[in-house]
Amino acid sequence: MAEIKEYLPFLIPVLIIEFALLGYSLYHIFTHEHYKRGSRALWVVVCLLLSSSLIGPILYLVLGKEES
Amino acid sequence: MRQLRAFVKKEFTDQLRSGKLFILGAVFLLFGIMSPATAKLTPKLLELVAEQDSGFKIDVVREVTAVDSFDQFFKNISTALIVFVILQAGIFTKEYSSGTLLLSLTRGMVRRRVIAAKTLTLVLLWTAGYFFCFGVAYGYTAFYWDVSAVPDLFEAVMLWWIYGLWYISLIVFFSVFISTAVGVIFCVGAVYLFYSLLGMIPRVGKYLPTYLPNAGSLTHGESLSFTVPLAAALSLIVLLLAASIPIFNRKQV
Repeated sequence: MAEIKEYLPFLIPVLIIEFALLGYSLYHIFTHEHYKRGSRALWVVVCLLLSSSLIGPILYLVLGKEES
Repeated sequence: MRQLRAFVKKEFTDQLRSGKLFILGAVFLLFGIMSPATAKLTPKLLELVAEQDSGFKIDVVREVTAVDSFDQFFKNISTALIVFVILQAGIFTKEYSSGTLLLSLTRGMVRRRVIAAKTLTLVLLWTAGYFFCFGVAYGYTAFYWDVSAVPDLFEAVMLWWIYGLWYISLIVFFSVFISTAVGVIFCVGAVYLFYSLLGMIPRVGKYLPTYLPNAGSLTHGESLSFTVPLAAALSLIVLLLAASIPIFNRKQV
């Protein structure tokens, strides 16, 4: 536990960014019908699977999200 | 001035709506956190490797200091710059393909102001993101280590910032005659590659703008001269931006 405590100042903000990006991406996926590429199922899976590395949501925002 | 301000405002609305502002903020914040985190974790990881009987021996003797943390920062910020270039490469080309630029031009927007506004937007985004990232890294570093002993940190940070500005001028310059974002990214990459190859010649390397990222080693107390690469970068920035205007004036939108 003491080990983890030492890294909490790093962990907490990283987790916040992670969940914020994931939440925003998922919200966007479910409120939109059409994407630049891919389907809803694909993007949900990609976002959830690759969320811990932030890559999933970023991939969606860059490649999948349609410009409004 | 009013036109310029309105256009910059429009650009920022664009950035916000497309989610780019959000991604940039997250990326810069993440890299700001990761730099001190990596510096802090490295000895732990080395210890883990050393504990496994892997056949080679690692002695962890050196204490981690603030300098290591800033080293990581200067390493990570280059990745952040790549993300920045990829995200922003479409700032002109997007408007060519959608035809929205025509709307502002026919309503009396002067072409050079379009360039000025977009350049200003990129500069503001890069400046805010970069110093935000550095601020986060600095905060963590100051929390864990003693930062008072790091030499020439200010110079190093400023030189790296100007290095980023050089990429902005490259984006603007190439956007003026290339009509896809991928093309712009490719050309900026090609310029980087060209300068890197040129930089392999030892006597030439230290006079090129691509030498600026080495500013990170200033914090090691190394005495390197950055006068020539700084002058080279600044004059290239001015030259590229100045050259973009007449080319853009003649461009068919």
